[in-house]
Amino acid sequence: MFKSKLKKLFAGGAIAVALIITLAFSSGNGYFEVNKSLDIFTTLYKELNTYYVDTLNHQQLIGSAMESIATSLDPYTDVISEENMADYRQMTTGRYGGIGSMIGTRDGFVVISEPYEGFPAQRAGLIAGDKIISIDGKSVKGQNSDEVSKQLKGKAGTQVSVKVERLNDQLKEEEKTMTITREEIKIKNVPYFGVIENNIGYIQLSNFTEKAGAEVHAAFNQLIQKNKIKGLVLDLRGNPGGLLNEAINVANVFVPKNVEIVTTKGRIEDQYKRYYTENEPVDINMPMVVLIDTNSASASEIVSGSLQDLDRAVIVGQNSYGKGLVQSTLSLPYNYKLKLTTAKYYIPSGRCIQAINYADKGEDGSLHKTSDSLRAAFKTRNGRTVFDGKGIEPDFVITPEYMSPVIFPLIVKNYIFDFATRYAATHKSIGNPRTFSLSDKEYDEFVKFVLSKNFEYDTRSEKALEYLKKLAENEEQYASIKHDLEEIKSKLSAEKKQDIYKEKKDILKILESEIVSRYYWQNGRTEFSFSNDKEVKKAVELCSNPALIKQTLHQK
Amino acid sequence: MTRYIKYILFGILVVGLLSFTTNYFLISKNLDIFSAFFKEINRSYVDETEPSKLIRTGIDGMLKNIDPYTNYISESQIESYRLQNSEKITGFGLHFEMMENTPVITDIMKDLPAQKAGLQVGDKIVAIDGKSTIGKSKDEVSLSMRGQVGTTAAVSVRTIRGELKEISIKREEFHETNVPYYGMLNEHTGYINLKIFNPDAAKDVKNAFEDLRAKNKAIKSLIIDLRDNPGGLLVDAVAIVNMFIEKNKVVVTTKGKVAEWNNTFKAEADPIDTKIALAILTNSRSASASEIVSGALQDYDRAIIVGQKTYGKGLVQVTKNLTYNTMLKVTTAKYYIPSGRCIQAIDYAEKNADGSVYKIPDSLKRQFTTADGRKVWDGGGIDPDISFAVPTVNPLVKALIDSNVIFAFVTNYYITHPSIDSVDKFKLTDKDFDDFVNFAQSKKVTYKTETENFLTKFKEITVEEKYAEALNPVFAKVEASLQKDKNDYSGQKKEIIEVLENQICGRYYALPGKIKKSLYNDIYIKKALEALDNTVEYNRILHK
Repeated sequence: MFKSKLKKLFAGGAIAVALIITLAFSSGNGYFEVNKSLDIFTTLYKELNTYYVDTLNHQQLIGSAMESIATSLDPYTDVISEENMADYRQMTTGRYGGIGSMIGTRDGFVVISEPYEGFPAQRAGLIAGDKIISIDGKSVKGQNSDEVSKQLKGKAGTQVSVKVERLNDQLKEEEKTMTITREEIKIKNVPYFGVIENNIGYIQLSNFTEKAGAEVHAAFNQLIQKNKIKGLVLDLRGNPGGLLNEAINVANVFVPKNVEIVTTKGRIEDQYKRYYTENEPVDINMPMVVLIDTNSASASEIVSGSLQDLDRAVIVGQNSYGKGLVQSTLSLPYNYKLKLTTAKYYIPSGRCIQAINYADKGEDGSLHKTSDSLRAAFKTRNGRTVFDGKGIEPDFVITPEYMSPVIFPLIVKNYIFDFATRYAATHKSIGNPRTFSLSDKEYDEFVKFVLSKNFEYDTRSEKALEYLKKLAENEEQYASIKHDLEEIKSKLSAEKKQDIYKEKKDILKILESEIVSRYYWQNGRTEFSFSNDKEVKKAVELCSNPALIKQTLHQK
Repeated sequence: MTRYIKYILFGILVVGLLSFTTNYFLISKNLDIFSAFFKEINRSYVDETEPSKLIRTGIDGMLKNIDPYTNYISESQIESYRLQNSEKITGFGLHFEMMENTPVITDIMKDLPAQKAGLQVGDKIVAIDGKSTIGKSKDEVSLSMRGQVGTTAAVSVRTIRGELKEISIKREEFHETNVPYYGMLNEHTGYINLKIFNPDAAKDVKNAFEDLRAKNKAIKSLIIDLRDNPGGLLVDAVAIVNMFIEKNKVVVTTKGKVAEWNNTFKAEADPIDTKIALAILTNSRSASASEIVSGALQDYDRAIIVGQKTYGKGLVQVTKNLTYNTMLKVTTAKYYIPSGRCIQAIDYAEKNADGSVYKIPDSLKRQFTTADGRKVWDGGGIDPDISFAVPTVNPLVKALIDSNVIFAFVTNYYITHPSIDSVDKFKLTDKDFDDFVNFAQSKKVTYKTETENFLTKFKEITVEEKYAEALNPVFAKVEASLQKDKNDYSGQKKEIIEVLENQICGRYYALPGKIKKSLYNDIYIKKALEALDNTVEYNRILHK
């Protein structure tokens, strides 16, 4: 009885499946191959569950099957299960209800590490360095930042009372209690805009969520009308991309209506789409520089690439990431979602800037960047030669400098942070963030402060030396290089002792930036960076020289 | 009584059905999700897809999470699967390596077609059935050697003396040899090399042991060499243990998810010798059936284990046929040796937080006792009773082997010397060594040691960390020293001569000659003999 029912069920299933497949593959010849593969998979899956020595976890099994197929295609194709959907939504919309501050852990307490200007925590008077003692009267001592974060978050409009300990101007800890009204926290796409110098405007665009285009539009308008700027720097460094439509809207601010910005093409026809600017621009002639780096990806590359291909802006910085693939989110049964790469995009010169061809793997499965000899040449509107397959190449490349290994531990061990907290407690104001600097005497105090903490840090060089020694021992070569390796060891240790003095210039910049943020928050950091940011300097130099911009862009 | 049985049956039936329905729902739910996923990918992905390749990726990804022995075997892999799983292969009965794009014979198996046809180690196979083999991959060449039993292949051979010969070889079915060598190490110690547990492994060991006993009345101890033995047939492992322990003792038990499928394997035959002193040699590549033999003999305090900790594979697989001529090899059980321990080293059901496999930590290993009350532990292979540091292969020697310079020199030696002394007496002279050094230097062997390779990386790191300026002069000195070491032939004279002598004995006396020669300088043998010859120590180890 039971058996015959089962048979019927199976038969019904088979018809339904067959119908769907016939619809889906009516044109293709993949029908047989797909079905055969699924048949093998189904049989294998059932046999596996029957015979395997232990009981297996289905969700994990199917999850890893799907995941390995997805990652074999490219790193952007992904399956999202029911339970991961909430995180995914927050990731893609960038909203949460809270107080608007970053927090971190220090000596068993959670501290406010960076409040965002204009958000509830900052408006209520919380400052970086505040040690959180209790929330709504309940002690949070010993809790980690996840646990504390959960209590700070809540419905928008509700209140939370936070008791903190803060250093006073005598460097003694004082308790303070603040009541904060939670808000929906929406991080702006344009966290800062302003004037750098000589009537050169600056817009920082750090994301492409909804309204990115409108924010750039408004910022640019304001810079023109209020500040009478003569040139513009659009900063896309570190911008990972986001919505394709917003990339079109951002480009539209600088190019006329009805210009094609991007075309997407996939294997199936409905992925073929051409995207045009739809609105009136703000200004199509003002000298303009776009800053990019290796973390500028996707929508950032559409903006910088289309402005390059249309000869509208000069690009400065480093080669961008090289992501020229577009994903769509598709629904699967049981609330699973499939984020699938369905198309490539092509910018106005006709090039696709995807750097890694995921279909072409080495025999060992290794991925490689498109080799230069295989890159095709394209022409910009004014006839400049540009290439596909490697992200956007800046017209002016600024090589980044290496960072000494002393710097990272100064940051993660909170020496920079703590020194800034003490500085802020004892200095009422610091003047203009753009020109702020510490004196030599103050740097010496910082060094003394650090050394008093028995400052120790590892370098990759020291670790490499140890590893080299082990290899040499295994390969019976240690005896002949023992003496030299010992010399390297003592030299390294001597060099390390000098690092904090040798790297004074770089360390000062980071320390000063941290101090500035205590008085002027994120925008203060940005303004402070203008004076020592090599890429910004190059951009200003170009914007102040319209002839050079014209020449670079082959404009008549 | 009947009622009781009915009751039990009913119980099983109900439990079975319940778990079947929940399981059935979960299986079909997950297959639903997967089917939709798979179809969508093949329909909408930006590039053309290959469904059969994708499904292979998916299956491998899924099975990798389970354990390394549960595998999917696609149609195209069945041939090589057979090779690795104690199934018979058809071919010429030889081993070869690709040297300078040409297949060169490196070993000829006894009494099989290649030997009957008069082929020799070093001969080049330049064409099979009229098709050139030059520039082909090793797999392609293997494939053309295989074929139906009884069919004949026309083979073109360039012999070591440079002649071109056309011969025909009739393909035969064969197994890899279980016992490639056995003999006496001294008047009273026998030695049996067991390379794999293919069919008849137990019979081969038995024959070898009985032959040794018949010819050497003074024999009082035996060494069984299980180094590099990957395992094979469980029944042969049981039968081998059986030779040394009393009838009816349990050798191994397999246990899986379903109790009815559990199995106990006992010593069913009368033993051959329960008294002879035994030493088993193991290393980290002794796995599975090798671990049953060494583990069961350890648990019965019947043998001392000499060498390195074994691999730690305590899982049993069976092969199931799927659709479209594909197969699933699936782990169905764990095996437990007489003390009750399972020697599986890695618990695949557990995963570390980062998803990496979970090696059972020492603190969680459980203690068991052998028959005579010695303490042993589960969760990580068989621990030897006597272990020691194994010397590593010097990179120069490794490069000389890998670049086939040693092989080529040995071929020349073989051509120019009609015969050599017996294996025990054969020695290379200082002049032979000098000839070799000249020969090797003329071949300009270039190689990079790992130390050298890493030094380059180290230098890059110091640039990034801004220490390069201070360190560059010292790096130059290190590079010079490493360079000098790399060509230090006289420093490696002893090791090079050993390798050469082993290889040369192999040419004149085939694989048994090579194995026999290598035993003279073998630290495992030395340690085993020391322990076997010292009755007090031997008994102390085994708590006798």
